[in-house]
Amino acid sequence: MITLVLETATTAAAVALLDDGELLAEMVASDDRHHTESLLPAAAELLGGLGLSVGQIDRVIVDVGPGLFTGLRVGLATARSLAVARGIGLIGLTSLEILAADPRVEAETHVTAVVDARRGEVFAQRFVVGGVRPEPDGDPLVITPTGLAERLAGTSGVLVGDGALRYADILGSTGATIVELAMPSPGVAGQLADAASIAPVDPVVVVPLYLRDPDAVANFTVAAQISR
Amino acid sequence: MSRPRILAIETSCDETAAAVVDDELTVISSVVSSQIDLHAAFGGVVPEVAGRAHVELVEPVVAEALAAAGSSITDPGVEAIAVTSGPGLVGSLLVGLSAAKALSWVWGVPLISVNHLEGHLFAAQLEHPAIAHPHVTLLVSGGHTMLLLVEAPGEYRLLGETIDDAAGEAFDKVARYLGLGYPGGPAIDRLAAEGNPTAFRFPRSMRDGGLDMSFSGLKTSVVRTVDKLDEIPVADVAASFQAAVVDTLVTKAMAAVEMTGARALVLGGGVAANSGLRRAASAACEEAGIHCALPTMAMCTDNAAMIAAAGWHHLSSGDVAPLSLAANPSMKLELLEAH
Ligand SMILES: [Zn+2]
Repeated sequence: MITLVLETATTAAAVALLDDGELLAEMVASDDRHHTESLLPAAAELLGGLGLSVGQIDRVIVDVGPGLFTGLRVGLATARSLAVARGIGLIGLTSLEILAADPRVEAETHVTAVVDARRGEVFAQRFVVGGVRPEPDGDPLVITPTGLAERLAGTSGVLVGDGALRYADILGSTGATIVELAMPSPGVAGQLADAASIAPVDPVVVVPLYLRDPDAVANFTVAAQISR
Repeated sequence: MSRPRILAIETSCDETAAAVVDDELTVISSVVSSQIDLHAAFGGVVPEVAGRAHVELVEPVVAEALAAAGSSITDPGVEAIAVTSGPGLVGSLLVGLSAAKALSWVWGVPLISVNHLEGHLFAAQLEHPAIAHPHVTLLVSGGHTMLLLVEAPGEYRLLGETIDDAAGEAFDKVARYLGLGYPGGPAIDRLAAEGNPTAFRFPRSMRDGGLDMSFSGLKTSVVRTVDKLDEIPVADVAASFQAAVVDTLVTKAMAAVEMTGARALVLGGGVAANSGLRRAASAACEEAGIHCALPTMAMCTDNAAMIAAAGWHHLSSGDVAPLSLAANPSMKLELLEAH
């Protein structure tokens, strides 16, 4: 079972190939927002290097976010079209879950994954780890780093993600350990899907997890409330 | 046995479109999913809203275009895939581009990069295959107002363009000011039919005889005039404003025809749907004894059939794009060297 994993939720673009749970190859294609240009050339290079062709891909996994909106759109449009054209299933995993599942995150019980949401906010979700799949301890949030630090005060645990690194000075004040890991790993995503036996679904139901309304919609809602 | 086909994808603004066109430029299928309803509440296209909608629409629209052409997304029966890579909204362009690349890769067919404006110029090839060259194309939309000399398919000279607002932008701004909603063009066109086009004398900015145009002064003049009125005769304002835009466009277009000895005038872009412009351009061409090629309403709006037509032109000259193709929101039309 050959699996292609696409990762575009942060400023980096990355791909991985797995055969069932075995990681065959992983590549960071770009680290500076060039998702459109770098994603598929990297996937083609990875496949070619292993003597495989696109026709041999059995399923696709994509990071649905939360993260950079444009990155998510490139990842989702690519993954959905690829899966539909191949007639195969697609698995969507969240950036926060992939970060929490990373074996480089050595946590006893709890991990909080923190992805940079820009404009002074982060996407964050706390997980209970130790099992096959990180178990969400609450919904993902859009929150300021200070707000997150307040919520985490007094809890032990580990923080991971580009948001944790960017706001290390604020979040580190909680006493939490911050793991030096910014990008959700496509290899980890592939291994997680295999280990937890996550089933592929119809590609059209896999959509980006934005967690934030477009500006105009948010402004419009506010305006509508004021004018009422 | 059917003729060779191209699939094209267009997502540069707020229409998600896909089409299948054969090598004789027969449109086998063309699907356009408009987001007008999504954006109307905001009085204009919201880029982030457009980008989000494209992600969910692009591959169902492609599947629909292929189904209508008697094939399917897993067995498409196409020679190549053409996609708009610019100009347009970057967050919208990259959705169509990502989908097109994935399909090109899976299907093992060449990817062709098409400039959206060139698509509009090729629209006439689909509906008026016998169109004479050289001809002048007046390309008028919410984003562009240009006069081009088309010497042959793919060979263009820029004759003139707006130095500020696009004509369609002026329609939208005036419509918003008059409280007519979005999109403004059709609303003004409808009202103008009931109004007196000579009720107000709005300026025709002719830019001293050259072929460039300007529409921001016109919009300001409308606002200034209307602000002074206690009661606004909306239909008369709409009719007078539309008359000023149409006058400017047709005067410049006919000057371009005369200057170049062109044998036909072609209208293209969203504003080419305006009934006043269509009437005035037809009348002026008849008087000048040249052919006036008006697009159907479906061809005025953004669509993928025109992208496919331009795609065939590029494919025939071996102009194929790599999987590393980037979206270019400010892409320029490739022009012939100046004389
Ligand atoms: Zn257009």
